[in-house]
Amino acid sequence: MVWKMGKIHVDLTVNGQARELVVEPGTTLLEALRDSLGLTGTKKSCDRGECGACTVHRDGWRILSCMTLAAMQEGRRITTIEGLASDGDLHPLQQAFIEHDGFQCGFCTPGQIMSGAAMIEEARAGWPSAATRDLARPFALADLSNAEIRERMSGNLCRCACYPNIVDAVADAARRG
Amino acid sequence: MSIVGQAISRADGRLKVAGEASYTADIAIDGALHAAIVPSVIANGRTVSIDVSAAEQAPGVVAVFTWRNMPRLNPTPNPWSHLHPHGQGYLPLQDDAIHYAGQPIALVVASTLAQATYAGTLIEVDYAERTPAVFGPSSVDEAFDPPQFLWPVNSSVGDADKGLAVAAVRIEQTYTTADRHHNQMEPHATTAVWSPDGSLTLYETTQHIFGAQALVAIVLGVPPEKINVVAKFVGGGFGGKAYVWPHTLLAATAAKRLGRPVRLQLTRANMYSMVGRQAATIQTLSLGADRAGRLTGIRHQSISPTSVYDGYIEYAALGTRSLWPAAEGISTTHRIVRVNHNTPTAMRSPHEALGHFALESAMDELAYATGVDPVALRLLNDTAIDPHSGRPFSTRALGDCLKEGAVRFGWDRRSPEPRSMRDGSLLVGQGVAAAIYTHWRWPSAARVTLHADGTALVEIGSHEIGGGTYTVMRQVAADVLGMSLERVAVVLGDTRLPASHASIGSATMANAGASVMLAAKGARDKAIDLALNGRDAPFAGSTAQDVVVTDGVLTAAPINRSASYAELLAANGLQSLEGEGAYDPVEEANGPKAIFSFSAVFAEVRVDPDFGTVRMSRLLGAYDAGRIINPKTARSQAIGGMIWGVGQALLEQSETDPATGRFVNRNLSGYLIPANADIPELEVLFVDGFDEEASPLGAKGLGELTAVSVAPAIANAVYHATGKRIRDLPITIEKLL
Repeated sequence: MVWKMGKIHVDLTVNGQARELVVEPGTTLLEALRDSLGLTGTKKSCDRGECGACTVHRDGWRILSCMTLAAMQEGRRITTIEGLASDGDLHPLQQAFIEHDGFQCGFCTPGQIMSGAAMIEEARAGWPSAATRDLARPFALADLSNAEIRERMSGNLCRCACYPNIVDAVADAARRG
Repeated sequence: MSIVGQAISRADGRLKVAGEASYTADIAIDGALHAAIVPSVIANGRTVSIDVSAAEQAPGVVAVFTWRNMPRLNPTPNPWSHLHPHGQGYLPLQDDAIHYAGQPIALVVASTLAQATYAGTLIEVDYAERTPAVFGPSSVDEAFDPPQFLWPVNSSVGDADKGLAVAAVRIEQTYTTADRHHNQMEPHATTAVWSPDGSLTLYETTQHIFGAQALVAIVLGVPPEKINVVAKFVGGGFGGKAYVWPHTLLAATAAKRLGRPVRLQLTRANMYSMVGRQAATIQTLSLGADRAGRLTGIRHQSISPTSVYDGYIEYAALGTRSLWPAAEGISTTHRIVRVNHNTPTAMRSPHEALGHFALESAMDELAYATGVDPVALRLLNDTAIDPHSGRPFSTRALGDCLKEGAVRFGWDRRSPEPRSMRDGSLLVGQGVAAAIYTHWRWPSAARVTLHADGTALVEIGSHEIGGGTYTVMRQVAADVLGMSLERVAVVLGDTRLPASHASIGSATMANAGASVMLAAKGARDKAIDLALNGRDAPFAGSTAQDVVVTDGVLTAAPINRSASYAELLAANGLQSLEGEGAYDPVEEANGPKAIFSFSAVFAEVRVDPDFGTVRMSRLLGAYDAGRIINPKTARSQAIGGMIWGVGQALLEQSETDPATGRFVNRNLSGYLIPANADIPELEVLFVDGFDEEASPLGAKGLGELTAVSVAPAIANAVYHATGKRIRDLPITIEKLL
């Protein structure tokens, strides 16, 4: 990380490509992605960590890009909605969102999908949630009930309120693995 | 099999899941400046002085506008005309008056948003403050009779007072609902780009591109034909983006003055002040009935707040005019009171969702007072004639909604006594409510073009706000053209397209959809005419009635000949063939039939008697919305509306501090909207029907209907669970303890 003329130069990987961001100390990762890199799939909705619309992956795990500074991402691996598909093939969760109609206006959708994709990996890694009944044994992907998905997806607000379809899409993608 | 009626996945699905759908603030504009609004901290008074010197010197700042240097704007006549919809009649930055907290008192324009926002904090303001007027119990004494803007303010059919006087059973109660904000996930945004020739392109989050065009033309004094409004994707509307609000006028004016494009995106906190909200209500509902539960009289009186400069009416008693008949008569009144908030506006579902809370709660109270089952009580009072206009309903399948809904819900297993059903330590309650919803008929134009390559293009100045407009318009056109979906493209959201109406009032399918249907018919009929009468006419001697189109191929079966659209265009040396659709229905009020959609909502809650927490365990909606064009997107609208109603019932309230007149919970952790874990399995039933009065497509309004009567169904379930009748929304914990 280098300071030049009052700006910070940050080297990081975004959607598999090495990128250099030149940002002010107070620039959020969200603003840097949208304004510096033109990756506008990540949305600004509340800008204070309440709605999940800005969810991206950092080193494979979901974070709120409005609540972290771009200057803190030196050496990190960031994935946005634009980087989730591979070679034009949609991620299984993207496909499941289409099939289960997991959205209406679509504005929260990139955040929902980034959150859901990481959430499935959290479940696979054995992470419990507030909805987990038996904490004595490791959580398994097979334990990912609809109640679990609802709890784990509650950081992503959807005002069109497609929640039941979002749950169906996540459950389907988790099953398809 | 017809493409209409099939559960088709969204045409814009891939764009949306890939992050490629571009909303207003996603559209890159070269050289755009960024603007930030400085809001007033007081709710009533005036600015005495505004010192902008430090802000003007801040890094990156290009200009600071206050009322002293803002160009003068033209006032609008009749702010709520659908033709030039002005959310707030009071124009921004034109004088020193302050009428609500959060009102813009300065606009800072800078190279970056961070610079504009920072510079705004450097502005020093001295205020002269007066005590703000707020909505509350004293409003009942201050309310006055407003001038009409949508429907007649008051109504009286028969003699409601007599109906109440002769009643064997009377219910008279006061019900209140809270101020609520739309909280679309996409904040309002606008980017104004002026061309050297004096024309303006406005990238705008709007549900009404043509309305925005007309209103901005008036206020800025620019001919409407020099303004182009673009909205390809809108991140939720719910009524809040139907009217033009101050930020749009500020950005367009600043951009013109500075000769540079200006982008202005509201912050989440801005969304609770200078754009509209749903007005709170205080409603008094009186029902009279005979011992069997047959209604004899209904009186519904509602009071709601407006701003100090506009006369907005929340028509809460509107639905009461037409849902249930009463033997002696029905009367409704609306009064308003001035408060120091901005003007309220339509919010899903305006008018009906507020009034139905009172009406359908009172019906439940009547059911308990008479001992008649709540479903049976409603079936007893069902009618085929609109009590208000005396016209027959075009279609009214409310009885089917109640009966089929009750069967699916298992209503017959409900034990009617309050507190009689339990699940372990939890109290279980089940409630029902019915609903009626206004159907709007508006003109719309559309164009459908057949191309020489065998594809078709649908062009219509409508909007995609989440309802699935790209998807359903493609279905309608493909169905008429006899063409596969993949060959049909849809273009929306640009005032250079054929003019359609606002995407409000659940009107898009029935009206904009009808114009697409007519345009597609026009194009198809021209192709048929080529086949019958064109060059080397392959169907010569046959008639148009003999021609059917499948997969883009026209066939005249009696003469065993066929030709594709592409072949017909090629044979006649045509690159394209255009059909124009101009749908121009008579207004609903002037038609021979009364057109409304209907629903029955069944709710089940579990209440913890120790903590007063209410959890939804089941919710079922049965809908009569005419013909369903796409069951997949329609079901999504329905679950969205049901959940919207859960928010109204249990969570949502914008709270005003009476001392300062400010909304205090101006964010999504203070203003609660439903989250995923709040919502159980939902069930949606569509009671099929084709309503030819409502639309040539047979469709009636759906989107708003689905958010109506969820709150009373839940309130009635809470009463059934706890024995406590909550007449004040939202039903929060302290009201149950």
